[in-house]
Amino acid sequence: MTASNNNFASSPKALVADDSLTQQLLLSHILEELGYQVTTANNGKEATELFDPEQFDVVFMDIEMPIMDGIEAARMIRKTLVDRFIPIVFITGGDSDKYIDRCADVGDDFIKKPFSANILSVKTRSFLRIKQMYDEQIRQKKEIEKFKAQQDKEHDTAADIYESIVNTGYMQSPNVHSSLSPMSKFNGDILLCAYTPADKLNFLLGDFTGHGITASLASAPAAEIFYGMTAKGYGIREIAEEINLKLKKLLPVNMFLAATLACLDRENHNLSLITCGLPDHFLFCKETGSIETIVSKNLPLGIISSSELNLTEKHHAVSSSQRLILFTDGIIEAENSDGIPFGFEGVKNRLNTSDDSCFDSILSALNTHQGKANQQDDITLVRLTCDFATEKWSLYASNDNPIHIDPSSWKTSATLDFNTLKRFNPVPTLVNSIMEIQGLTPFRESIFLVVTELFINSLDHGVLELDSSLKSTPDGFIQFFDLKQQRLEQLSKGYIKFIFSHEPYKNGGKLTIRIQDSGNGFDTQSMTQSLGKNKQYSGRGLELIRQICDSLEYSNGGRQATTIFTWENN
Amino acid sequence: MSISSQTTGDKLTISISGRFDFDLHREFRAAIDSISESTKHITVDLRTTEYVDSSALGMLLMLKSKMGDQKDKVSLINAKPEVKKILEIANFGQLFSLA
Repeated sequence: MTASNNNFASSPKALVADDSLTQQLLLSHILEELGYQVTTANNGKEATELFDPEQFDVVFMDIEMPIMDGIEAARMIRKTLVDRFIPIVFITGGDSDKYIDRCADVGDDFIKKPFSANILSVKTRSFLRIKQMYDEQIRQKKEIEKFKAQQDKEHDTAADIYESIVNTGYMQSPNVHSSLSPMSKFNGDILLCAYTPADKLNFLLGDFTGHGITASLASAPAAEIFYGMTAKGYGIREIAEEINLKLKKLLPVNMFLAATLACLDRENHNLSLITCGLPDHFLFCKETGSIETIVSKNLPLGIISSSELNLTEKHHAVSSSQRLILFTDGIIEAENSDGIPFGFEGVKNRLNTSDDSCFDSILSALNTHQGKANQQDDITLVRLTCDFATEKWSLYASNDNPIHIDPSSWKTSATLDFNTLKRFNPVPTLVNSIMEIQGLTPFRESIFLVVTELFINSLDHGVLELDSSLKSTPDGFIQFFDLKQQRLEQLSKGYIKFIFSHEPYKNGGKLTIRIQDSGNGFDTQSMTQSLGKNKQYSGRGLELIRQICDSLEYSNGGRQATTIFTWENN
Repeated sequence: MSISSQTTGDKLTISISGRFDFDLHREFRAAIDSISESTKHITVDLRTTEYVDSSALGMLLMLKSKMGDQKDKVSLINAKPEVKKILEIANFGQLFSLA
């Protein structure tokens, strides 16, 4: 019989409270026969004093006892059982039957006097089974709570890490106004924004597939690439390709990044867009009220390899009164109480000339649409203002303290063949490499600009043989870009060669940058003359070089340009 | 919201009704796992699909991957205008034949 409760590692323990010594002994004897370890109490008060939820598995309680009756004692014991189950069994029979009703509130079962060993055996086994189930449930509940607390903590930490990765490198721009709910950030929506050394504004709005930590996890490499490459002056095409390459490697097949990359170029009043799977954007003019719908032209990033990607980049000639309105799908899918989505129209209807704060009115219309009860926390809305006013730019001009390095002499050159020219913009790499040779770092932006302008001139008018007069109108400007892209893709010959040389000069140094190309050259005389007339869309590059450098000379029929940049240590 | 599939010879047709989103991913994964070696072409019938989200697009990519990443092996057909719009935004026409 002692084996009947063998589910317990040690023998189960019972507390028996009865003022009759005979009953006490009798019950204890039967329980001991069943394998119990028994503790006895002579009245209710003693029972409450002896009781300890850690020590007992079952309590047997007589009803009528002196000092404290069984019902009161059971009530007190029950109070100490917060989330435990220890069965309290009332001993009934004779007179005490009349209390049964009251007992039911605090007790779990009854046994009748005289005791039957068989019935006790069956009942106690059943109690213990229930208690075991209950204990198991409590154990699981605690485990889940612990797990949840741990997960919450990890989630918070992940959110912190996410914040610092995505925001380190973020350059606040007066031209970018955004509303990203914290929920949507952790849903995998990202907004990245930074200026290149040539003071172009690079921008990325993205939305990862899926939800929660998984989705936002992939934001980290995307943000690192974006900020790293923007700081080095790469364009959005190279950045998009690099992010695509990385994500393709990292992400499982079913995950990708829908994104739009934009570059706002103050120099050319140009907005370049690479749209990869986000919902339509609106290019809105607050002067005329015109709305141009920008449709996604490319696959989302991270699906196919960068060599197959073949990104389409669109150029828009923009003025300061134009704004690009972008959003992720949360905003168009936001439903009202009738299940009707806010939709593209919901956004479009708020874009009008009378209302300068179209951004806020979109948000408030959305709030009204959703109603308080149905608030979904998944809203990302961004306005990119194409404002070229001086105060909105040059916010992050380098003010690094120049490091004094003795000027030295060196010479280096790089030849870029047509395959390289087709694939990527070599300027950042070239400028970075000469920065490493000498303490030219304080002049990085100027040198970057000069090399960029020289390179673009050689590429456009030399190797690609494009006519700059095309750029004299806004339409022609876009046509020029399209033609450039087309010719680049078809390029099968040609090269550009850079020769950089440096020598000590006065208190600083003299950097000579020479560029040669394989093109047909041009009439350098006419080019210089036309500069004065045509300041709107082209030709400003050479003027810039002249402002920054001491000299700019064309030779070899326009196939070679030489410019000299001198610098001094402070 | 459910997925049903039907095999005719070496062609498999998967029909998706209701909302095609993250809630369907187990069922869809099971459908992908059950594709046999002999299946040469898959048609995803979206006639009764009311909505697709980016998770659904991801699942379609898994399906394509299972079929060896070849464009002509998976067709998406009968999409309603609102569903088609989402497929077009993602430029899925480059990856699947849309009809």
